[in-house]
Amino acid sequence: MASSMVAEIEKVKVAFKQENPDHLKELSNTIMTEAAMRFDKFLAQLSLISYCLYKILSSLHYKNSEYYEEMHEIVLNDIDQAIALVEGKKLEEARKVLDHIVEHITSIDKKLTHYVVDLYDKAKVKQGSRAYLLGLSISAAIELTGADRRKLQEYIGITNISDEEGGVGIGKRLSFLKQVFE
Amino acid sequence: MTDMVFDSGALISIASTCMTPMLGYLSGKTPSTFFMPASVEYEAISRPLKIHRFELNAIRIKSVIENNWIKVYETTPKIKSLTDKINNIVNSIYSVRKHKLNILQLGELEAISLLTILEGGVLVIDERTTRMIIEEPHELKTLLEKRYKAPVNIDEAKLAEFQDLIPKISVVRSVDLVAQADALGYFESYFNRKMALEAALYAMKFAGCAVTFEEIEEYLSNQ
Repeated sequence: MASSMVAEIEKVKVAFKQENPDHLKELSNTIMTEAAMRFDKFLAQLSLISYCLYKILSSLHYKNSEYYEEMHEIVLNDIDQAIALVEGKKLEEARKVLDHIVEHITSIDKKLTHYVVDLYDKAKVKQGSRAYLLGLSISAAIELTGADRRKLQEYIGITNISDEEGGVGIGKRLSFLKQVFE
Repeated sequence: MTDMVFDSGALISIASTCMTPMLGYLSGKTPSTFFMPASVEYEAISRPLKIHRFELNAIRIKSVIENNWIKVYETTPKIKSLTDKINNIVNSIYSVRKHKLNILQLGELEAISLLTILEGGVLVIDERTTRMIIEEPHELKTLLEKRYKAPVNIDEAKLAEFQDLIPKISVVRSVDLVAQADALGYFESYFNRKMALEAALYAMKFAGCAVTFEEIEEYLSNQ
């Protein structure tokens, strides 16, 4: 399992080093699929980080800021550190390094954003919805990603995730309620 | 009498759409008791009360308890033990590439446990995974295969163990409660009953209830 984790972190490192937002976005989704399948919070956090880096690279506002170059270097160094720790089977310490990367991301985000809700929170909701799409319950998606329930529900509500599924309709379910109200 | 147990998702959808008075209306129309597990109280009230952005919604849901429309069922050792048992079974039913899928968590599990202790009833839950495990577990397998683009294995013995353990549980969503409230006259005081019903159904959908546009349209066309 450590080797597959290292492989995923390496891919994120390469994509960020090459400043390839499209690849970071794709990685965020594939890593979340793996995270959901294994219910692995480390991989889930890596997915969120990949998503945030994709958003940062996609925004000239962030990329052209005075803070970007330093953040780019710090994040790449942290990623190298995380790789070494995972290879050394020091997973808890590697998690702390991922937390450190998140701190850098939210720090630059706080300086540049116009929004109250930060980039990392948005990543949690976006990838939490992906975990739900992959069959996890909403509570399981929340546990995996740390997304806020109400934000996640509202986001799911405005997507077409539910429209892809069938099931028993409202009229039929009213018959279930007869046992309560008649 | 048939009791109803609420999941936090449905309560949050109802409160965020300002429909909590509907719960009072419905509770007055039945001798049955409405419950929420303690974990749902934490998730829908205690936790968001500390977050300014969600505080008002939590207060709305708390008023449902204060008004005695819904009772909190505390987590007894029996419920905890049953929740752990159901957790071990349910989260071993489906596997992809030899990984067991951990698809339900505490809130949903505790609601199912509570209904088991109550010997059956109605589960009010807006999200679809819990509903599908109870109603159509093999359809859930098909959905998972589509999403993972890989074969999904069902442990039929675990599934049978789950189905034998739980009582008869009927699943409804917040939209279904809206339709029930309408059938009982809830929207009669609005300037246009059908318009209010339509608006409330769509409001629940956009608040996260797993209902399709087609379902809503079909139901409204029969009104």
